[in-house]
Amino acid sequence: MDSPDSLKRILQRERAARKAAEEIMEAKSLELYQKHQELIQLNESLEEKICERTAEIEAFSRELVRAKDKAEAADRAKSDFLSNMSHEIRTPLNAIVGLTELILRDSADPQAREFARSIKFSADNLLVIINEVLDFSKIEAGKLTFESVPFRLSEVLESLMQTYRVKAEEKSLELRALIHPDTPDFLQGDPVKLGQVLINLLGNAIKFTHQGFVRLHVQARAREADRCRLRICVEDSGIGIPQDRLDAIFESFSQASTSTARMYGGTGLGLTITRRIIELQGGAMEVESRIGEGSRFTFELPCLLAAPESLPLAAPKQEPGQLGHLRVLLVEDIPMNQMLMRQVLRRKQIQADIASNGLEALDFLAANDYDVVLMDLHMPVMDGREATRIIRDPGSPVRRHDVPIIALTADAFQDTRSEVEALGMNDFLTKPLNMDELYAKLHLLAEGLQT
Amino acid sequence: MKGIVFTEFLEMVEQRFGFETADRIVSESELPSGGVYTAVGTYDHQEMVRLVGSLSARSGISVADLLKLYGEYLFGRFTVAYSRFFEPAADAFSFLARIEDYIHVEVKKLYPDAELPTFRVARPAPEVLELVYHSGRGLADFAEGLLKGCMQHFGEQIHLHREQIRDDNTIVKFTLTRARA
Repeated sequence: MDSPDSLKRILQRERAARKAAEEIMEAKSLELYQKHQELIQLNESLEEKICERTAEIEAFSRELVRAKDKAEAADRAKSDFLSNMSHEIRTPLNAIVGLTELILRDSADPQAREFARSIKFSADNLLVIINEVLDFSKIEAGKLTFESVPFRLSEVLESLMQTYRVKAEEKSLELRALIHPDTPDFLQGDPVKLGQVLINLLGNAIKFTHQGFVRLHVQARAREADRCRLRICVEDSGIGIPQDRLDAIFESFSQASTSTARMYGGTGLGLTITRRIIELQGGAMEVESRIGEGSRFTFELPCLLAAPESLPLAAPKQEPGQLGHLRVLLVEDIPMNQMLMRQVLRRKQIQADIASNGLEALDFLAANDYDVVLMDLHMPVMDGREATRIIRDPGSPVRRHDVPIIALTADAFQDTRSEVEALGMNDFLTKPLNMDELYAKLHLLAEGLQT
Repeated sequence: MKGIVFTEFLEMVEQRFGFETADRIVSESELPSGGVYTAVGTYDHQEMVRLVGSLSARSGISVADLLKLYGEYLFGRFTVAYSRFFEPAADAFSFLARIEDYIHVEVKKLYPDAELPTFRVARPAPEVLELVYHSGRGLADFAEGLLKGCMQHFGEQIHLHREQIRDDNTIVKFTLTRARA
């Protein structure tokens, strides 16, 4: 039997233990409370930190947006600069090309003609490079547009083959166009851009092929009643492109290797432009190549079919004969171009009056009668657009408000025709001037005067 | 040492040896705490050594056997007080395999300052579990009692073999071999 004393002591210990436990629990609970407070404070300070950080990140991202805007503005400025410079360079170049053409046509001195041929060759090359830069800046600026006009594929291909036949013969290359008999001939689209693409691909193929052949394969795929996909392949037996550079050749300012530029020249923009022109029309382009064996550039272009009757008749052959009786007013600000035009017109015995800007032109038109006005669009003081608007205004002091006006423009934009028509002009000619085209238009006018 | 080890020990003494014995060993041991223990307190490990020593002198049972007895008793108490730890374990081996990464983790949540032994577990064969006890306290006998309590709880036929790695009981290897079903 346990003694009462033992039980009493055990009870006392139990009680003491309970109190001790309660003290411990109280201390624990106080400790927990303090820990909890600390956590609340920590939480608050964390929230503050998050706010600070968020503000920092927001400020940073605003800065990024600003930097991006700046970069884009700089890029636009670059594109504009390229475009302006190309323009500035093209203007004197047009004069060079035009005057050289005059020498080629009219000079009796064989040596002068030989030199002129060389000048023309160099100037043409320079024009190609500048046009590439201009096209590139247009593509970059998203300003490249496409025409949709009926044309004959065979005519585009024929003139290309003619262009490159001489070069191919010089290098003893076989140049052939293999056109599948089922290929539709009457198409609706942009023949100029198609020609540009093929000029680039054929030009490259001939440039990089030293023996063997350059072949153009043409066929139609997925042909339907009103459309098809034109599949064109330019194949050569040239130097080829290394596998690891196949993608790079389509990048801007990039060529297969740095030595390419040294050996073959070029801007490194041609293929970029070519591919973009195809892609912007919903097509695709691919390349296969083997070093030393040759390259094959293939592209597919969606095309609409055109009805044969929708095609305009070929321009009538230029009538021989003089146009000396035509009264022409030339409105052009650049003296070199004035000189060139005067020479071009003089070949047809035309003595033109020359105004240096739109305002001067209005004076001439108030004083004299003219059969036609050749009007530059970009001029200081008063440009061609404003001058045309005033001429067509019945209230202006011009003698003939309906005088035919032919615009002269260096921008061969797709919407040029609709723009000049909207301005009230009758027709337009692009620079560099095609003399035969000008003569043909003047002959048409002269015929109209006779009837 | 955690207070629960003392309170449970004294309860066992009260049940198995009577209140008077419990009171005597507390009075004889001249404990700094005066034998006032609560489960939520922490006390000097030496107090347990003295209590077990007193009980041994009084009962004539060796300290080692008393520690084994207490271990077995305490495990039984754990299964009642902390039954939630026992639900997921299907058998003794799977329970013991998780001492370190489950039981001790849970203990630390309640008693952050608890000083726990380490158990290295190996499973050389499906029917064999090796546990290496490692503690500066040298309470391998106590651990052995706990293992026996565990085997008893799961009601499995397990043979327990003990191998002294260190004679001072700080490192001891237990090999548990399960009878094939």
